Amino acid sequence: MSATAVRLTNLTKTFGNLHQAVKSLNLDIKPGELVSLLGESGCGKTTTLRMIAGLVRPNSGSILFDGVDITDTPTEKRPVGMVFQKSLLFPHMSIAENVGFGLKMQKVPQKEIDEKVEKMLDLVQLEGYGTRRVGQLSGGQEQRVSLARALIVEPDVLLLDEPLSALDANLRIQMRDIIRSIQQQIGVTTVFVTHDQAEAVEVSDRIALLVDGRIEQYATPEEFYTAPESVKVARFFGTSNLLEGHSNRGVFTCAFGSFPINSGLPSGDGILALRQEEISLVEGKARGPGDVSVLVEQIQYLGTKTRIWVKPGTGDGRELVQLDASPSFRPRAGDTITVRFNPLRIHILPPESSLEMADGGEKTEHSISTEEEKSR
Amino acid sequence: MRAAMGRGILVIGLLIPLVPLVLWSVTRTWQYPSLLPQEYDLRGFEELGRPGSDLLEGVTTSSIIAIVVTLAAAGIGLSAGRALGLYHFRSKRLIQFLMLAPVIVPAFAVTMGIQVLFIRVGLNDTLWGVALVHMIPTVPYVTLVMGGVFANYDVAYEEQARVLGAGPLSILFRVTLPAVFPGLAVASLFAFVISWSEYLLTLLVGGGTVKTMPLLLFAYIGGNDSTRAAALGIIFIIPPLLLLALTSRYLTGSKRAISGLGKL
Amino acid sequence: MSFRSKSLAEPAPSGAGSALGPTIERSERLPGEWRDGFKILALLSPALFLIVVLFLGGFAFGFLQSLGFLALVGDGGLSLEAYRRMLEDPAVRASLPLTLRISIISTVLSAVLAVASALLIRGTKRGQKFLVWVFQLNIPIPHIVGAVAMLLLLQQSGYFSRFAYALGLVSSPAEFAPLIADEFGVGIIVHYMWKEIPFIGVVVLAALQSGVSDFEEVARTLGASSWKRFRYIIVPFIAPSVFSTSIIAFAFTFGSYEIPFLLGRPFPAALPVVAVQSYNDSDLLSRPEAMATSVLITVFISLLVYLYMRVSDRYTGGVR
Repeated sequence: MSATAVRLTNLTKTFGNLHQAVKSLNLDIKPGELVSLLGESGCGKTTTLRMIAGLVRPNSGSILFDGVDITDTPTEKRPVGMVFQKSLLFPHMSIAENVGFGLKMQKVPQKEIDEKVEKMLDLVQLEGYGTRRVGQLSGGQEQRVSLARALIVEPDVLLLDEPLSALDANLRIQMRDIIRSIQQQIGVTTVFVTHDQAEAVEVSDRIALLVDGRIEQYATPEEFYTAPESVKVARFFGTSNLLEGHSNRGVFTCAFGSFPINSGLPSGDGILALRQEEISLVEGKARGPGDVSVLVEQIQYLGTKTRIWVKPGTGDGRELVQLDASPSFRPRAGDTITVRFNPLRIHILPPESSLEMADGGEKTEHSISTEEEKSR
Repeated sequence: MRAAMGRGILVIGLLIPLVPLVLWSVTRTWQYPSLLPQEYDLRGFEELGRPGSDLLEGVTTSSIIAIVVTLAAAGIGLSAGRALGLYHFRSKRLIQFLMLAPVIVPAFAVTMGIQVLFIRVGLNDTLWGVALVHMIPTVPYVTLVMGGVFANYDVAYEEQARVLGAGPLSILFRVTLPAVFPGLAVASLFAFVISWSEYLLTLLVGGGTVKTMPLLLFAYIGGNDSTRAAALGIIFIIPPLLLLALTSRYLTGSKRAISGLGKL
Repeated sequence: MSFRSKSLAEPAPSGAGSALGPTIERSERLPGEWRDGFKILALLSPALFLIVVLFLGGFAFGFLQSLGFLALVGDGGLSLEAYRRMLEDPAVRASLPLTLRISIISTVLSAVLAVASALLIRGTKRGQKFLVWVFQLNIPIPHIVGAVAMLLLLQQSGYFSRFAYALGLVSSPAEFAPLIADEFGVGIIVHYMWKEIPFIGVVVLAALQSGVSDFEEVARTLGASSWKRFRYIIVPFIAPSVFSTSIIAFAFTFGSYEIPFLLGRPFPAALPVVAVQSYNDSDLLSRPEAMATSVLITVFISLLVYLYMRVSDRYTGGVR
């Protein structure tokens, strides 16, 4: 089985003349890559996956496997394997019969099927489970069988539709690793749909973040942290500090002061994005570029760290910046401290017409937990 | 394209027997081999309005019996169904069998056996006797449907009402009945139709003195008057269809209700 | 007997529990158990009374009469004469193959066509509601009216015959093959199919719409063509529904009196018709024989009911 490249061009899907689930989507997947389609529910990721599978027909656009247009090929003739959110193991068959089903459809001789089934079950760490019946397995085991069933037919493209969402947290992490290692071992081009950002970051070569039927950014996991392309992306990945300001000749000026940025950036309005992990405390007074004097507004002691919200040193403006510090550091509201905005990690985003803060000026308990969730 | 043909055949196949039925009911003269009646009139239906006519008597008798039977079956079936659905007990399978058998096994077989008793008790040839035998296929049927309804019923609602101070009657009318109403409505509908359509039991126990519509229909079929028979047939269908229309929204999904439909 | 109420049980004084629920100390159990037991009996008694007296009692009386007791004439002692007469009766001997043939053919054909119809309806996007409506329309139409309709449709001077005339296939009613009161029972079979196809079809359709499409999608990704999906996925999925409703349909057609009486011949007649004929025979010695025939019918159909319950249990864990 040689790895296959997948290309989606201008893929569009509208349901019932009203709901445009996927809007002119373009995506290029390299052979052997694992690409995640990441996004909230309703963003079109599952619809896109199902179009690649052939279970949904696009209204327009094309799907190419290694340059061959398979847009009009029915699912049963496409060289895909798919694992769904529910394991959907055929209840009236044994585990071995389930795994071997695809080969049976290809009229492979039974002896060969039995051998391959055994090998597959070994691969997913379920040796000897062949004779068991569907009702006797746990959720994680069922999904592994489901994976074996999809891989045994040696698909050109493996499609995974939130395969771990129905499992509990610890199991999810274990299964994640199993899936990724098997995928790398076999080298099959894979598309993985998930709403869990941490999951996508851990397994993917590249991530396509979908918002409202369109790809907001398509990049490696690292780039989502270091170089988000828009406020939406930044927020999704938990960057909580977004400051309006203006770039001019290598310097970005905002309420908190001026910071050095890439001199290649054009002048104009922009938004400074900085993750809370990239702000550190500085002893004494401001020393280098990126150091600013700030006023402590609010503190929260979180056991493993102290979370601090600060205002600009001048005390005006509504914007707050969030940073984490050692738990032994317990300033009080009104204190003036010095922090460093890591210049290497300052990222400038295009301006947005109305940059609404994720939560208003005042940070409350509720908004804190939302922040926690987002940055997970 | 084959699918479209298949659909066409299905619809035609299901509806076509109704065509001559409807046409004959409004026929005055219809001779072979024409495909439409030559002359129409409504005498088949007008008879319904004549006081003292067979048709009127048939409709009245059938209605009284069916209503009595339905109410009785609803009440008895409601309580028995509650027992079946809410509780576990060892003889449950046996009871379920006893409830299912009278629905499927033809009631005439047991009615023939019980005739002797009926004659002795004087229930023979009476309306009440007929109503009583009609309960054989209907009461167990309602019981089974309500058994299914109560199996999915949450007694916690009643306990909650009790805690809030409601007495047993209050609970029955304000909590239980509204909750089980859909299943009860469907079951009652089918009990009504079963009684309404029952021929042999009525004949055996009623002895020909209790004139229900099925008996009339049989008589008309035997005679040579197709118009009368067809008209009666149409009138015969109307109450069941009306009731179906009223309860159709409760009909979806109840497999248990469906199982008794083989009787219809 | 042990009864256990499904509602919130009294808290167990011992902490012991089991998979079936909290166990209650023996001394505590009695009052609660009695209470529940009374409740259950009270709720069940009207229905049970009716069934025991009328159904079981009726059967018992009929059974006794078939054995010679309670006879209206004759000496009234135990005798299997009625059963001997029944088995030697030419009417009964001709009736058994006829009744079985009609029931088997109509049930099998109905089941097949019901599945086909249900699949057809499921696959229809526009107009599905109309198709379902037509399907459901037939179900509450009583058999007797259906028989009238079939008569008007299939008799030699009936609607089909007139169509045949219009197409030039026949030139008089007598030339149209008799479908009513014929030897094979064609009219009866057609009528049963007309009623049973929607009956079985509705249940199959419900089964088809309860989740099998997810499995079909999986099968598609594994390369299964539509025929293979039907064979390996759909058939096992709907088999329990088809079996159980077919058993009911078969039992009903076997025990039906009105239809074979209206649409069939006096000889050979279906078994229920023969039973009623014997019953109404002016020769009162036929009474026990009629009872014997009824007992035969009752026992046979009761076995089918039992079979139905077993099939239902195996697949769904409960009577449906």
